Amino acid sequence: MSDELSIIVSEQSNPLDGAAFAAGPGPMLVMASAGDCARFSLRTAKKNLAKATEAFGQVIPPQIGEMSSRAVKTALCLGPDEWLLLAPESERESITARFAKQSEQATHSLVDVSHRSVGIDISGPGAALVLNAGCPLDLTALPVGGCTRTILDKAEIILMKPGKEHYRLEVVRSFADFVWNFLSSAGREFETESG
Amino acid sequence: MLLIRCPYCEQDRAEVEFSYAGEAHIERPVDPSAFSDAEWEAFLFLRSNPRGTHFERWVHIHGCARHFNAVRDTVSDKFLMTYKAGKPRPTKREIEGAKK
Ligand SMILES: [Zn+2]
Repeated sequence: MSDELSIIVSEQSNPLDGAAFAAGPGPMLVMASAGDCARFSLRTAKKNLAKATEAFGQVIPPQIGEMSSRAVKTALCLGPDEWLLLAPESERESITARFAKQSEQATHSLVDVSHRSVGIDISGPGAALVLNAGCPLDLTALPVGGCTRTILDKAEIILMKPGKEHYRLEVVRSFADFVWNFLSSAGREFETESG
Repeated sequence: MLLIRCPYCEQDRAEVEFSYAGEAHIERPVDPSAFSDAEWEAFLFLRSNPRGTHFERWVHIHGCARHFNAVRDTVSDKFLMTYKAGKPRPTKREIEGAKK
């Protein structure tokens, strides 16, 4: 028997792998499954944000609803002491290692939640309308570069607004099919209007 | 749609994003074993259940996920004000002021 610690690395399987959908003239709505990425849930005090920014390699914003995105890394402030960090899968280990190194100076919890949720990109002039079929937020009041946790019909989602007519949502894997089907059924409205 | 102001998000958000979490300002006893049965019963089960102004806990579960306190009129179902957890019970005057 070996005393060595064995680490099990699980493969990420995406229930929406490669899914794509378009509806209406233009098209009004384009939906696509976002690629896999590394995801971290970060809990810490605001005073540690400078340190955390160093470890993540990208600005981590202090205000709830703020998102900072550059190149391939995105940091979302979801609560007074809660952030979601998105990064390429290839950087998963280096980010974890850099955070671990500073655990003594800046107390925090960093949990790898890469496989917890999947992403969906939604764009087009009809994007907000389709989201509002199940989401009670006033999406015109959500600024470009904003984000929030909210609800879509009965599924909790994290909603980001990277562009005026571009949204990205994160949903727990087990609700992914439900959310995809909900949005694409709402999107079919555009087909009937064009006919 | 009933809107509730979250004191952490500083936004009015739809009720479906929130969950109710019972009466507010109920202090957990420091030394429960010193309690009589009657005192323990009161702590666990007896609530004020007023007609009118009620202090209660809510959680922005599908938002910032934070617990906070609210003052709600149980007759009209109107939220008079909300405030962060840990803050003292607002005075009558503060509640009146928040209504405007
Ligand atoms: Zn909130």
